[in-house]
Amino acid sequence: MKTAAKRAPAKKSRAKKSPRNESPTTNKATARKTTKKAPPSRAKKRIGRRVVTDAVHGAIALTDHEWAVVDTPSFQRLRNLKQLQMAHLTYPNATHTRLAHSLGVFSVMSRVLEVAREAMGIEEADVADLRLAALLHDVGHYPYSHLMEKVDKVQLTEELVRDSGARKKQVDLSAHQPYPKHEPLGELIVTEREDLVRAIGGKSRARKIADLFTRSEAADPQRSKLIHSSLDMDRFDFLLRDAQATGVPYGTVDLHYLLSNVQVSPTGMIGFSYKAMSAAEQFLFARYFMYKVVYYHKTTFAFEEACRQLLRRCRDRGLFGVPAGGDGIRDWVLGNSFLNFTDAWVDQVVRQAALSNDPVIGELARGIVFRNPPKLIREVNELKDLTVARGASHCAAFLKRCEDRLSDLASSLGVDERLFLVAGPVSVQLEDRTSKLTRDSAQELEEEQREELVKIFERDAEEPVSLVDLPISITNVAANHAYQFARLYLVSDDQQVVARAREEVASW
Amino acid sequence: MNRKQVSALLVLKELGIGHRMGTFTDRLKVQKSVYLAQAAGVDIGHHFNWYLRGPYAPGLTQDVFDAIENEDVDSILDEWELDAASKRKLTALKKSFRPPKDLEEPQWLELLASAHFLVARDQVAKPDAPTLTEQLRKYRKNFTRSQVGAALTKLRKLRLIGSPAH
Repeated sequence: MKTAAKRAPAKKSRAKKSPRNESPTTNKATARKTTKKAPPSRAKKRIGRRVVTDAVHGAIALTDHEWAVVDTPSFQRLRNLKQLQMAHLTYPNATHTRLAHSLGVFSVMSRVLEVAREAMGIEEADVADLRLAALLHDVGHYPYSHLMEKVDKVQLTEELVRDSGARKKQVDLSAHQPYPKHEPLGELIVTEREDLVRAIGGKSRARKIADLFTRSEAADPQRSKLIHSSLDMDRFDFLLRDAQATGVPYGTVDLHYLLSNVQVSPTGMIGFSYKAMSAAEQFLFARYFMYKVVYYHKTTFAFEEACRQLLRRCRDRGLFGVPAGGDGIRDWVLGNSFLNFTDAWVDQVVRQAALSNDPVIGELARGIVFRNPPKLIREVNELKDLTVARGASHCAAFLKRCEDRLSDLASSLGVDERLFLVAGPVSVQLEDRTSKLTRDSAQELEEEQREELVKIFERDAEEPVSLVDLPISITNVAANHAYQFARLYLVSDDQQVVARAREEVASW
Repeated sequence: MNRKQVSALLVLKELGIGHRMGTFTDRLKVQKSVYLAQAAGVDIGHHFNWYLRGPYAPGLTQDVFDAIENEDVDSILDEWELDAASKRKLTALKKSFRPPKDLEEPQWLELLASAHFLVARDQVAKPDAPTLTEQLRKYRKNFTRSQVGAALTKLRKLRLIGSPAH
């Protein structure tokens, strides 16, 4: 009912006003003068004064203060970052942005706070901080999001292949400090960029907001975990949004039902009521299938891996302005050109690299520019039983053979070994594996991580239990397994070479 | 094994911690020592949140688990080495891992890492032993004032936090 009440004026506003979706409440003072008996309680109850219409959540109401944060150049940069990295090369409609996702997470957070604030003991004054933390949780994302962030996780083939007798390979952390993750980068942006600090209301509050979304607030970790906890607002939004944008049917989540069944225990643990167990299970399966089908799609993954390897190679050689290390990224974030740190910046690097004479850099880049993906030579996959201690993993064995044999294969095919892209092992699970670890060892260190698992209140129980621990739940069994894959790609246009490579590697 | 995993294993090797993950104590030592290494300037790119036992990076646990599960770690470590400057920093840091007489190494590492996290992030009203001891007690960490004082002294000696005047 509340949502409907908020939506009505928003629609009027769109009819009358600018495309920025300004609501008539902006002119509330004028409206009051002309209306004799406006119900006074109505104005007091309103949470938002600005309304954004979102394809996933409908009307999202923001206060003027929140709107000022959204309106900063640092936040608007998110409009130029695609949420799904290079998925648009496979799913043409997957061009939605981090900005839309951030507003979506903000919307879910607002609804959760409406439902659970009192029970969680969250003060009214803290609600605004939590809403802002949700809004800003992704403000530190890199161009193409996780793609560039994970540049340090790249396995370059020449580093991978065995080369006994050669001198030791070096990890030079002094020359190439790893790129920071997007959370600490977001913290830097929120606490140091003037536009955001001003819009948030000063350094001290900006620090508080950053501590919330980086889960660094020691005084009240429970609050800090709201964004990423078992009530995973981040995932609720991205599953729904990504499923809608890609057109695949797997990401559907019964969000309304789940949110209307939120419960809070006397100790502040959040979970869902027993009757929402199926909806909660479906959420976990939706996530599992979205990873398996969309996020790790073989063609999308190929483009992303090619781009990641390209950026890593450019970074190592100081080409095309790719920052050499973490300090370079931090300097950039605090400097004037930060607003250009968008997907378009990476596109420009790729276009420049496509003109390169370097046989590897040029090939990788041209493949991306002309949408000619690296060819999958072989994928090894398996469903791993996590209850079995260290066993023979097909993926690990395949990767070991790649290490041992890729150089010879490249020589026999007459290709540069660096054009082989080796990836994996990558795991997809219903819940984080550490949950299994914790269940076995019940240790305190991981105990808090268990709070991030989806929880269910059994009938009459005061405290919830993790869904994976409920014997009646299918996830109790399924969470003991992980889908794992390793892939070998080759950047080549030569169909014969690709066919020969596939033939050779088939037995590895 | 990717470079980030290799970096973690090399740092742990330099610090004499190793890569055993079988027990709670093993994992606690891995977490806190890498946190302190990053604080000392050997950044391997992990982001640490605040958990019950202080700074904790879930991605680090995952990385080390994956490495030891899928790879022959010893042979990987034979193939790779850290740069000299990072090694020097870790050698200096390693000396601080020797605990005071009344603490075991894992608890000492937990105290050093937690104290650094709270002071470096301005989450303690005053960076002195009495205030920090009180605050840690609120977070269910029962260290004595002298233990906390020793940790602060050590962190200052390593220049990981500023002097009390700051």
